[in-house]
Amino acid sequence: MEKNFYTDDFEQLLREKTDEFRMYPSKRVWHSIYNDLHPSRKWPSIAVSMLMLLALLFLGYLNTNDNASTTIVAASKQNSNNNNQVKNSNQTNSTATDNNNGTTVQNEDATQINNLPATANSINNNSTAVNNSGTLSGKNKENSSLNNKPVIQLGNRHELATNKKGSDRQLYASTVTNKAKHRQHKNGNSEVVTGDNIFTTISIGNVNSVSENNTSANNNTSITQNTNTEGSEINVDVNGNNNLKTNISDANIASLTLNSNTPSANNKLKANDDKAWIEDYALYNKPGKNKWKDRMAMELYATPSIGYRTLGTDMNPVMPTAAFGQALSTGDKKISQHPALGLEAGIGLAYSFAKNLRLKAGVQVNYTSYGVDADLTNHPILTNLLMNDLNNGHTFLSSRTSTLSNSYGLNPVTVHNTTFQFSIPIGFAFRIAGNNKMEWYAGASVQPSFIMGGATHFISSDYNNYVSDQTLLRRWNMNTGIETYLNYKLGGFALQVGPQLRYQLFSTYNKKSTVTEKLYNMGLKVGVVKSF
Amino acid sequence: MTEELMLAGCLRNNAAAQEALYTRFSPRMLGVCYRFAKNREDAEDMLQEGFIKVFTQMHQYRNEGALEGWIRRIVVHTCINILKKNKKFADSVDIIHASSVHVKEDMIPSIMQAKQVVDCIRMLPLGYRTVLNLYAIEGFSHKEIAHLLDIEESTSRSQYTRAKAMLEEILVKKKIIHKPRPKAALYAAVAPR
Repeated sequence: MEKNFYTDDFEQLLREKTDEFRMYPSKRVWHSIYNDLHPSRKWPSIAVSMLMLLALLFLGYLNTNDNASTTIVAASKQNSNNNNQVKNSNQTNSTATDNNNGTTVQNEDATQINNLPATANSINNNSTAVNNSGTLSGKNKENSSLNNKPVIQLGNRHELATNKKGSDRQLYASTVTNKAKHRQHKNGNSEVVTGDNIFTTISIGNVNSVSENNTSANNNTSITQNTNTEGSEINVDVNGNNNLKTNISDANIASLTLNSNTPSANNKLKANDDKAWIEDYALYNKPGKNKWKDRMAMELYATPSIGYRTLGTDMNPVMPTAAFGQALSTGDKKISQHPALGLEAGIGLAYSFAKNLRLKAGVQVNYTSYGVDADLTNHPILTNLLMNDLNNGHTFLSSRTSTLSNSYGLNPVTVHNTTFQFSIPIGFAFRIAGNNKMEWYAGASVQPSFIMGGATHFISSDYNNYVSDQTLLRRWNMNTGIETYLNYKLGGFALQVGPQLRYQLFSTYNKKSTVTEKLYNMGLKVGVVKSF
Repeated sequence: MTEELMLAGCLRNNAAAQEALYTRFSPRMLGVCYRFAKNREDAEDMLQEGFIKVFTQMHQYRNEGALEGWIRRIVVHTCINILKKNKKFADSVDIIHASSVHVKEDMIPSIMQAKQVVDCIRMLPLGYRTVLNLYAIEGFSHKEIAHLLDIEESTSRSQYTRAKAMLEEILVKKKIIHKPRPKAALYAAVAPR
């Protein structure tokens, strides 16, 4: 950017007054910058998250004592992650600042004239690798080595591959146009500084000499440069049509001819060169974007919830009439139960399929619980469970013993029916409204679930006792969830908060049980979303 | 902390050095962003993205020219790229956020006038404002502006002429400056170089 000294009083006033003007940013700005530069210090590691989940499950497991002396409320507290710093080895944003050989600069608008693959280690006179009508091109990623492919970028790029000390030969080229001076340092770095020059360099291997060329634009430009200790010499000619020809004296290095033949390509090349210079001069570097990464985000969430159940019967039509005096209708009238605290926690990926639609999938662990009031008896009581016989389709009474009475006595206890589930939620979220900062979503999901374990207390056929039997737990189930939440963006991540309802489609118990139970949980989902 | 120490610390990705550099230059840079942005929130977003680029590209600073000038160039380019990327800006300012912002603007008459001038610049339409900022204040040539904004050079010149006239009219109405010079002198000042 050239500095123009204005003689106009009005413009002078503008410059003076705007230079005096100051504004102090809010703390949010620095926090966002800090979190972007040091992401490892704010984002908890997966290991810490898993440890938290395991701790919660362990607490829940402690709550499933069959003697059930007291009521245990499963409390889940989200630990603050500020004190849990997990240091990663390298930050993704950091460049090789300690690499004395420097790094490359990317330009996503680079123009490729022609494509011709070749390997730096095997550049030779083999016509299959290089020919007179072909060109060399490619994108030079930051810090990438060129051991397998050469990187030559014409048009917009002016920075080249790194030259590692003692590395294999590396072939690279640059074209810089309009008011730029190219200085090549002994360590292999090349850079653009101010000037009024146009030139092109091609070098192979480690650069050991400094070269500068101050020729004017759009004229034939010739650069001779001794490039490496092996004595390769490269002559580079650039004519007005931006044709770039190299004659490499080293017998092991092929002749390279680079052509830009069409007028539109020439115009585009000039416009892109000018644009590249302006951008490169200010050392602006915008990394290339990965489309799928822009649409993907990772979610980490937890949903403390209140769990309850619907209770019914699932009896086969034929049943022994002498077993009990009244048929089971709904057990709710005879059973004193109350909701208890549950927890869902998981991690998932969200893919922005459309502007307002996200597809989600992930893994989740669930802990469900509800309480049942009972009375602890002094001695075991013989009782019966009404069961379904899967072989003949009849029902039968299964004799059991129980120490829990369904009545109010001298030793009241609250037993918890719990399940530990592992789910794979798959669903979607639809953006209802919002702006750049705050968005409102609604979503639904289906969650195939595996029941890892739990505690069950069945009501006896006469409603007088509770019987514990884990074998009646159904191992596979299906849950559905609906939710709505607010998504608040904070720098590189977003915070989600909103209610969620989760309902179990199939009974908690398998077909042997005549009792059907379907759990449902209502909770508040709190999540953190991080874009890639 | 001296500038050399800040630079050395930033190259080592030292958070304290980065914060010191940010604290020193952010007030002026936010002023730069504010001239390009529609509102303060957008200006802070531009500032944030600009400084992230500054810190990640710090190794490319070669001590040629003032550090502030180098930072300013990056911030200006960041502002331009954001303006080009966004189709529209937020319609309103987040009132809750605005109320928590701590603005320290000295009540010295010259600074007050500076803010007035900046506010008048921000009253211009987006295209006029951008061209005027780049040409009159940041020192870009019309050719550079044309390439930067993907417009014709003649468009840049004409927009600047209109922007300048409109800004002069605003400043006169607000009694910040006196009545401008005759138009003949005005056009002579913006003759192509």
